[in-house]
Amino acid sequence: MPASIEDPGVLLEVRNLKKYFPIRKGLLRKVVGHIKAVDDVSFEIRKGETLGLVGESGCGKTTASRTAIRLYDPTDGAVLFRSHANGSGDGEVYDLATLPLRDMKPLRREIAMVFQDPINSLNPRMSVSDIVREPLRVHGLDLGRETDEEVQGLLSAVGLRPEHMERYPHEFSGGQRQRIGIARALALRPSLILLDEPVSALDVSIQAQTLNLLQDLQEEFDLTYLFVAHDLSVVEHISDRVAVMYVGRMVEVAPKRELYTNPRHPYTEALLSASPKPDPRNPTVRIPLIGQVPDPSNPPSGCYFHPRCQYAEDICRTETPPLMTIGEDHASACHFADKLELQGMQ
Amino acid sequence: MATATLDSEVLLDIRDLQVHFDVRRGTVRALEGVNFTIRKSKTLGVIGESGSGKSVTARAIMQLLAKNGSIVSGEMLYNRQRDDSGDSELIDIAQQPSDSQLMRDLRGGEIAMIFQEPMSSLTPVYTAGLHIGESIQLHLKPRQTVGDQMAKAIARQNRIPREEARQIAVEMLDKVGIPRPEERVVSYPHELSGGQRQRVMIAIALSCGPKLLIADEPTTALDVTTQAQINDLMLDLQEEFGMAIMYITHDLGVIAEMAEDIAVMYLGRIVEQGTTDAIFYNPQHPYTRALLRSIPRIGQTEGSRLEVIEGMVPDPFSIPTGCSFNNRCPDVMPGVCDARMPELLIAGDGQRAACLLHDPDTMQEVTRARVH
Repeated sequence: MPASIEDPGVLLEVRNLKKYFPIRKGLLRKVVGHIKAVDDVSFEIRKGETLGLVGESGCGKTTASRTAIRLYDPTDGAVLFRSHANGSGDGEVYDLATLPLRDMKPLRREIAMVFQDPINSLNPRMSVSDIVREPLRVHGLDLGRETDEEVQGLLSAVGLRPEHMERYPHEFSGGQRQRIGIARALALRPSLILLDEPVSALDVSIQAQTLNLLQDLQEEFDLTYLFVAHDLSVVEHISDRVAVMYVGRMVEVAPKRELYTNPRHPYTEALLSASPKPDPRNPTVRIPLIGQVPDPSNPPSGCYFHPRCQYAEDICRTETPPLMTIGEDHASACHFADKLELQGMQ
Repeated sequence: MATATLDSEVLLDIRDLQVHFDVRRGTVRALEGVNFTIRKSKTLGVIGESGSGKSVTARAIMQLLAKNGSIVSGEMLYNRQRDDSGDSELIDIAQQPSDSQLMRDLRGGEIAMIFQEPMSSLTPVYTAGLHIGESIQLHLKPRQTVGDQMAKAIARQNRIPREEARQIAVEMLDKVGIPRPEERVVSYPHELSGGQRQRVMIAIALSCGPKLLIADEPTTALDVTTQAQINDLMLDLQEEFGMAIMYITHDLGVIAEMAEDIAVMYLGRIVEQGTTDAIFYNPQHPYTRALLRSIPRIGQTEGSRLEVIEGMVPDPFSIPTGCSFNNRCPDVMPGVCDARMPELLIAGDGQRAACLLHDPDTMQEVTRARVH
């Protein structure tokens, strides 16, 4: 299907993406409802940028990002991806959501993923060399000896030594394992990498090393990142733009500076105020969030955030606010985005 | 023997604590002389990376070390207040066998602990009420208000009756902010959310009115908004119950909000201890400084790279000689730091730091050597 992205600078455009998981009950496993893990989410990732995706656990950030690269089949919506495989200027645009799976395979070379848990995402029976060359083998690019050099190059790019090639994952520390995972993601020279909580399992000092490495690699290999995380300070550090999700929906998207200093959605405001600041003399004034994240199989009416929102009015209980552009490059899904004076961070 | 005396403000004084673990490859010196004090009704934050010995310290205080671990030397002086007489007695926890009656009374009663993983520290076959009730029945003495016959039966067992324990459990659940505690008291852990489970853990820990609450990474598994709720709750309850908290975490943001005092650990030692203000604004140990510089801070990282601590925490069998941080230290003095072990010395704003840069004798020698 011919698809197009208007802006030539956009690498991936997600339009009205939905992913529902059925809830089955009874002897016949009848579908009795759906968990709307991702419910009408739209966003775009521009070439060379890092888009941070934040939200609490269960908000659908992992599902949204995995559906966007077709690790899950979407329930509805479109995912337009600009492929540069043929080397032609603006590249060709494919809709990943509807593409037959056999046509997906060549595109997978351009999209890679790094997982959160560096222990469980590496096969303990494979040597580092095998782990890193596996993507090449799968795509028929493993040329034996020549590939050895390639693998060595990848390992040194992520700061591992050539003698590490024949070792096994258990011989490495958490930070080094994450580097192996990053080297594997780079093996096919992708243009887009989905990083799902890549540093949350790491120690503070290792976290800084890994974040710096990711920034260096982005420059060296001309990469675009979709960075999923819950730590707002990490996301702020690495991202160009940040998107906030709540119960399967996108509530706010803006360039990071703008989002952190001038949030336009009450949930973003609350999230920022909950984030602990390493500055004991200037503690943040917390906006208390009462109660819990609603159950995505039975979300509240209207705006999903209204039961916890201190600014909620009648309209919030009845009407669902769409994600609207409210400023330059700034979108918010709040009825009162223009009227509220929300507190950001200095 | 505990012949020493403690300042009446001090609840727990740890002196030169050493804990070793026997493993197949040899002996792991998990704690190599840990020194710190916890003040009454105050919060001591303990920070450090994995393997620094934070959790081992907590478990040593509880006398809950794994079988292959042992307290080799050192003192853990606990200032025990007698509620009835107001007198206090000094107990060296390090000398108490894990299964002694005294330890059983202290553990879970006066010294309570909450863990990182609320799911795995609650048993799936007990309801929230039973969890809390168990602790109450073990530690609290029955009140005098029950009927005669009951009183006799109870006196024999010296236990609070089940129904009363359930009542206290409901009160506790209400205190920790669980909605509809009457219904929740019969909920099993799997029916509760992560934040609620941690609230139940806190309810168990506080049900017997502890003097010291050890919180080992209590919010690491939780979301930011839930983390904020739990931390606020702990601060509120501290005000209400007046217990001291030993708050273990690797998150510098959390510690800044929670603690009055901070101890920084690296490879089984305290490298710096002082007030939160001193540690954050005038750190004296190179490790503390590096740690503070390596974290991303909102609004301060525009286009910049993070400063990193080179290398990684060495494994327990190849700890460098001398100061154990010397192989990663930006201010290392070759020939000095790898030869000598620094002691905790007063530095900066009244905190103590274990770094040879603060040792006047060493520094004199270094300057003299440079001149020659």
